[in-house]
Amino acid sequence: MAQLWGRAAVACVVVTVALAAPRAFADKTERNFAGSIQLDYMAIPTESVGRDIALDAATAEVSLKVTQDFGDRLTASVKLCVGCHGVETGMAFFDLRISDELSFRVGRFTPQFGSFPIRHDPANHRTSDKPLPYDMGRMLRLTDWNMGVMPSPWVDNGVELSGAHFFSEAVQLDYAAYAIGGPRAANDAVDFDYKLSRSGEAYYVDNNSRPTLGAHLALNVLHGSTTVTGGASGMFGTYDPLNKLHFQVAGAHLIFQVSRIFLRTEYVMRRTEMALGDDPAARFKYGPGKNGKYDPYFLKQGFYAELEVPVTDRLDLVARWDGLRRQGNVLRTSELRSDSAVLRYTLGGSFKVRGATRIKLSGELYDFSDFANEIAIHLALAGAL
Amino acid sequence: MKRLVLACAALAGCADSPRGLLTGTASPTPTDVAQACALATTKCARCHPIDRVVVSRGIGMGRWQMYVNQMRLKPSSSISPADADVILRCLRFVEDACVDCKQGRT
Repeated sequence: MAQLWGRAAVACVVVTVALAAPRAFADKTERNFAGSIQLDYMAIPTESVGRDIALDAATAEVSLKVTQDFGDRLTASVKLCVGCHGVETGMAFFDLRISDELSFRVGRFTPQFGSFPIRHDPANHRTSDKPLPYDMGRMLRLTDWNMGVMPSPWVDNGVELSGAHFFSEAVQLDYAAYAIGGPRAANDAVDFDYKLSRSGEAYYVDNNSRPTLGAHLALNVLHGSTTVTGGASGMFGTYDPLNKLHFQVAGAHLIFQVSRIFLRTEYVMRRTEMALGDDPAARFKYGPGKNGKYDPYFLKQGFYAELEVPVTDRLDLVARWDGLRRQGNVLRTSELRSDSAVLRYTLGGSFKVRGATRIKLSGELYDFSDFANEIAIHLALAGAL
Repeated sequence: MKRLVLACAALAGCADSPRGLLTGTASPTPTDVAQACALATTKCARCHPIDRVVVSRGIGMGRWQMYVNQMRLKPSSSISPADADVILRCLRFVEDACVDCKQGRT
């Protein structure tokens, strides 16, 4: 099934290139450059050595992007990202547009999922860090939790089919469907190993010859200065080299915009199969269920609700409530339990200094079910170029 | 709670002006352009601060057409083809009238 889907996608792309190329190259080309920088300092006043539980202190996030239009239908984009992980290619793709309702993206990109990933660049969102469902290493206890549900930006090689249709000036429907390499881990894994997705030693290729498939659907309704957006996303596949460990990710979002006030809410869940191994009793903290069998799955859920209010042309305030919950067996070495949760409360502000340069200040209270509560304070300088 | 919502709305109303985009434009702003820039401010803010547009002024209309079209096709942009024309009307005025835009016009 997956192989058939992949072949069909390749055939579509070839046909699309053939159709788009003559007109695309006949038109004028335009090239542009953009980028962003954020230097964030995170202090954890509740810990004497914050590094024990987080990547604290100063971290830099940099992005440099070049886009070239080859006429109206063909665009190429390349983006380099620098973060705690070092230099990575965040984008390297072609967009082929047949119409608003049909376009293809081919290359290395972030597939459409949920709402936050479109704003993942630190120059685009008002807090220094990301909501917990999309955390990519800035949360406290990141090792215990293995980051969020679906770290953003999720960058992968593949092909995406997408489009948007305006039924009227007030109603817009978006869709996307894609095939990508997918997450990775070893054969005896109990969760994704994100380092394998950015390891040259593991090569930047699919680890199991089977694509991960996903889709996204969203509806926008406008009324005056109010916009309501609702959407759903899903992704599934296998993540181990032997194609035995399955996962499914699903998400939903609802966003209200009144003028420039935003209330954003999002929910993401991931069901992940774990390798039980030859001796589950020695490997896992909890025994079998009532049926005498070990449950090989765990469920990880995340949510956030965020209110963004512009106070003046220079100052935006943000209040955010987000959390994670993990249910299922854990390794004996894990400090989590079979049902663990964390809630976080954030208050912050983003002050425009000059041009697109902003100072971000935020305070966060972490309420862990398995650890002592913690406080984190972020101070960042972020800007776009 | 009701007071809080009203206070937020009042604050956003004050902040929701197009003057950020029009910073540095020497010419008087026609009413329709001011309205176009207010729409641009609201639409662009869905994904990024309007400052990102402000610092890019001076790139020329060819590149703005490319950008606006790309942004229009972003998921849940809420920018219809008609909205894109209105946003470009604002940007055309800014390009023509901006006296402190960066170099590199095309």
